[in-house]
Amino acid sequence: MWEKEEFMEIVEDGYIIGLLREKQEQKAFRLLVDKYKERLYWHIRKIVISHEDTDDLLQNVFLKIWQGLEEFRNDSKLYTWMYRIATNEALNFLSEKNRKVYGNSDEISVYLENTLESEVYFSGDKIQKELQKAILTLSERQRLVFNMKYFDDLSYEDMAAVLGVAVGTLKATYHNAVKKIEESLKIVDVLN
Amino acid sequence: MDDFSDKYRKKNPFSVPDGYFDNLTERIVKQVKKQEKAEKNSSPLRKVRLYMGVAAGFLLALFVLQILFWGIQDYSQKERQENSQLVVEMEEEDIFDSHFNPTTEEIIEYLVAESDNYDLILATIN
Repeated sequence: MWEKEEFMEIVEDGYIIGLLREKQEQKAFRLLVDKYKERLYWHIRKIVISHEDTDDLLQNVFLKIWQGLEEFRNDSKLYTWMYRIATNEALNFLSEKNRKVYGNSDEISVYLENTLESEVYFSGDKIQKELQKAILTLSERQRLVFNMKYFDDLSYEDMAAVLGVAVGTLKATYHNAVKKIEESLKIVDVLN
Repeated sequence: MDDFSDKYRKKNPFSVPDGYFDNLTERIVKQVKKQEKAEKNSSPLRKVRLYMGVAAGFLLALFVLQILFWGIQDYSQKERQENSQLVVEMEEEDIFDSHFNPTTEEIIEYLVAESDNYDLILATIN
């Protein structure tokens, strides 16, 4: 049942859900991993910054997806359901890291900035690094919303389904996040 | 916002090791299989642990009941002993005092004094 499919195509979520209904969970799971591994990877990566941590977390996320497939209900989109699992896993990781390293003193942004500075797998230029640093000055929720909207191009409706927050609140959060980033970058421009 | 987007470009600045995504599906599927196998293997042990837990709980409950039972028994025995002691003391002090030998007249006087039903007592004596 776990055999590799040689010609794996990008399939529709509806087809995968159909396989789940037919109790072909293993085939459905392989298709899911193939379709969403990159999107979920980048979503987690923007939250935790480090490639190594993202790789570990992605394994855990797919394990949880596999374990939850039987309970997955068709009342939410497969994509937003997986995105929610990935978001929770990444935020729990940061929360645990904050507790262990800083004793809950809420200095996780310091840790993330250090991680960004030392990250080997960063191919952006100086301006993009400044943008990432400015993003790290945002609150956790602002950072999530900004990344999901700006980089992942998620609709507010999908974001609302993932984060469990009203669309109006998300719009306001994104607006405030952009303003805060622009202010941070202006200061950087003046300093340079 | 447009200026902002133009200047910073919606480009993902992060990268991954070469070929990272190529074998990622296989790695994840393999890891999940491994985890599933580990859970299956550990499940009999978990069952044994569960049974042991239930058995330990049952024994503990029996032990507690036993202690409670002993406690009740001990209390009853103690109570019985105290009661018999009280009887003995009462017997010694009042009822069968060997120095107290009332005459029939004294008994009648006592009963009359203790009871309002004088006629009934007299009828009983006669």
